[in-house]
Amino acid sequence: MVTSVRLSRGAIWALATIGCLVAGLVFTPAARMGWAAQMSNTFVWAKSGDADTLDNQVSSNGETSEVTTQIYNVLVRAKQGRTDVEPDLAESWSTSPDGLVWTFKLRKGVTFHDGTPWNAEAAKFNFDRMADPKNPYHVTEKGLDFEYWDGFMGDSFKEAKVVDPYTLQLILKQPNSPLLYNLSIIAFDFASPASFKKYGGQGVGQHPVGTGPYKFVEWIRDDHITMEANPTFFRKGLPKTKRLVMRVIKDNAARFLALKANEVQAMEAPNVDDVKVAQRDPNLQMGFRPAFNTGWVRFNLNNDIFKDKKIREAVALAINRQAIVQGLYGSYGEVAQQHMPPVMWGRVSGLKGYQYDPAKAKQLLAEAKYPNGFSLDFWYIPVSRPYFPAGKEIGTAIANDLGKVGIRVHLMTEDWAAYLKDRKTNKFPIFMIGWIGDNGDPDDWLGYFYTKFDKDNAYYSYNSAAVFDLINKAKTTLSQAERAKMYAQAEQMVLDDYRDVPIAHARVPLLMRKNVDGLVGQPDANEYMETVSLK
Amino acid sequence: MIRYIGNRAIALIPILLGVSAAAFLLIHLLPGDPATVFLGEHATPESIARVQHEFGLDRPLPVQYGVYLWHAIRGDFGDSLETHRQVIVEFLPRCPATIELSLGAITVALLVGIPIGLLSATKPNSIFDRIGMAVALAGVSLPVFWLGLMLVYIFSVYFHTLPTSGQIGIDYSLLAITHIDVLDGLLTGNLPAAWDALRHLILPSITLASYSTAIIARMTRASMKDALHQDYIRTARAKGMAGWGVIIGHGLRNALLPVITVIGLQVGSLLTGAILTETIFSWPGVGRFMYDSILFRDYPVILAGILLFSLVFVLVNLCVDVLYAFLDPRIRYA
Repeated sequence: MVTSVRLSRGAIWALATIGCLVAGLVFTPAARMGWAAQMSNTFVWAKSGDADTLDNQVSSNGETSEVTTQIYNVLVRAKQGRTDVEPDLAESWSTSPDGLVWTFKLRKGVTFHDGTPWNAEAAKFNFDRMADPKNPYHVTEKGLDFEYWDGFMGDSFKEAKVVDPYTLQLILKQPNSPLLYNLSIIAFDFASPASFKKYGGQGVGQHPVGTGPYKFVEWIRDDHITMEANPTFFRKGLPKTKRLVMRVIKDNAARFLALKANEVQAMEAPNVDDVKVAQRDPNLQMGFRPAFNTGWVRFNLNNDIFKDKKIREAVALAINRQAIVQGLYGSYGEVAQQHMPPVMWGRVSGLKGYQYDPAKAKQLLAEAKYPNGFSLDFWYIPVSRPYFPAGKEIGTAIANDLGKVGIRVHLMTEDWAAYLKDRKTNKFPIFMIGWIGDNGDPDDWLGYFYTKFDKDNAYYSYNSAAVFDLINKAKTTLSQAERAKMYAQAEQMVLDDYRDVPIAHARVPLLMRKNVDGLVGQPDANEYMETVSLK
Repeated sequence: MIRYIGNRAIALIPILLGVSAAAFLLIHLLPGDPATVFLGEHATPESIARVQHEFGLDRPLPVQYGVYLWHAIRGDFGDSLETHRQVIVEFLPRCPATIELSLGAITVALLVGIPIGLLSATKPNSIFDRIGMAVALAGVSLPVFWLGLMLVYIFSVYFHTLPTSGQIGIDYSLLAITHIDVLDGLLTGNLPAAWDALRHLILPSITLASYSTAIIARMTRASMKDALHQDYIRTARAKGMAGWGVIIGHGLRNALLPVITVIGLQVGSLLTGAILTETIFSWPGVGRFMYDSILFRDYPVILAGILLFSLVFVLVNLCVDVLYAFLDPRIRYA
């Protein structure tokens, strides 16, 4: 028999004391003071990931550009909440008739955070660093490279020339009409030449010195980045908060709970369910990044079955995109009728798009000699992306629609890393994928998808010399009105060929406390925090 | 004893070699490659090839393993694909945070697990026993990420009493001595910072400790019940010793021996649990870094992490075995 023991009075007192201590630790009111962001002068933004470097010239990471946008400036930048550009460090610009010389008149009286002046020499210093592999500062940390420079400027840039202290010329080898929009990408920012000399080409990644609204203070990796207001910022009256902290909270649910607890005042990338909770919470409000993305179903035209246009058309007409958007995008999706989202110029105007018509889809299949349909593997993305917030559910809905017209779908997926790789092979006969824009020029979209053909690559399996020529011509045409017509014409040709089935554009929700004012969602996800204040 | 420890230390070499080979093979069997993840949707074949070449991923697998081992022996575990810095440079600053969290969790597990087991054993079938075992069952059953989020919801969002995440508030800065924030706060006399760090530590520690607490409670209960049946307990009572004196002095002392072995084994669950717990609580330790690395296919970091975790696990269990000999004089190692 086990001996039963009564708790002595002393033991009970001891347990009670421990209990009180623990309760005191957990529930003490004084404890509330330390952690919650009490200072109205500090705005805490919750990020979904950490930066890889703070030298944006060598990074294509969105987590980096979200921070560097606050520290640096570019020659021209996207307007707040939009994709068209406005002056930033350049006040005005002009182009030579042959499109080979771009002249920028620079803003005067601007200084870097280290007190050194911004001028044409400083601008040239940065261009030389990016363009010339022999430049002593053209060095990066391992794995990083001047990706954006190589992708957007490398093939056309010849040299940067100082005309006078506040006039800079960019001389090109060949016309590059998207140049202005390309230069609005924060990867073409300007760091203090003195900082390069002080910290070296690699060191500026940890010691960013720009001209932006906030000065860098500290970076605790994987935890937070702190910045303080730049009192000499050239936009008068900005920034509106003294201190900006960007906290890294990678788990979506944990980030949302930090917002509810007022430890952070705004956050990006909430879970869809948390958005619904936020809409009912009187302490929270919602904002949006305008839809700057498109999700589509892409046919592998190297696959025999999809070489038949009627089958592609049948698939396009069989998918009830309106129902998918209504059911699976919350209230922030819209049906995509073409590749580029509404914030872009160069779109086809007055487009009705593919209309849901399962009867006609069946008829088209019969005409294509598949009256009883066929079976195929349909690949859906395994992760949540802005353009496909619920990849599996959207894939399932599409499979269901295709099943109704006789196309029996085996839903397939694989790890995202494998998916990104395999989409550029012939493994997938038909698959979901999409695009998030870099800047407001149509070349960033159509120029990436439709300028080449590859028989071993589903992604580039569309082959139309007419479309390729049109898009290449648009890249070297100076008039934006002319270019817009060309892109619209090319897009119409691609749509007529049923190359893809555009599904949706989605606004991206941002959640914030009720007292946050002036936070405007930016299409490229790099918000200008300079206008944010706490009421 | 010294010979025993020496033999065990030598046995570490084949263990770590085996672990590294298995981990290396398994990681490379995963579909997808880090260069593609690194570059995302916008990747071009040229940029993928460049990144693969830079990190030696375009070489044959046995060559990659050979090169890895050769460098690892000399303390060079390569560069992180995600952060581009040396793996060892990434791990070292993160270790103190994980040590702090593990110490917090072990403390919670011992302070809660042993008393629950003790009370349950000494008062079988009582309300203490039933509640204690229900808590233990919950600790084993509840998923760490769910428990963590629930605790945050209750204590941070609803009661507004404890922070949701992080190791210390952004308004505090500490002079780093041990890099364990609570300790540094106390050592430097910065009591508000120490207090804030301690408050940040509570919820992650409870979350991480939940499984171990349950195991320790159940083990203590079983072991204690067994000990209380022994003749020496009856003898002690017959000699007139008071109830708790017998239980603590004779019962618990003997019952704790198997519990110590279990505590050693729990280090494994603490390390794996740290991966999820640190992610939920944005705790800047090794676990969260490992989690990111797995998503990112950051091969060098995953490999180094697995080796580090294996090493810690084996060393802690070696310490437990040695400790056992000190605590139980009947045990001697040849």
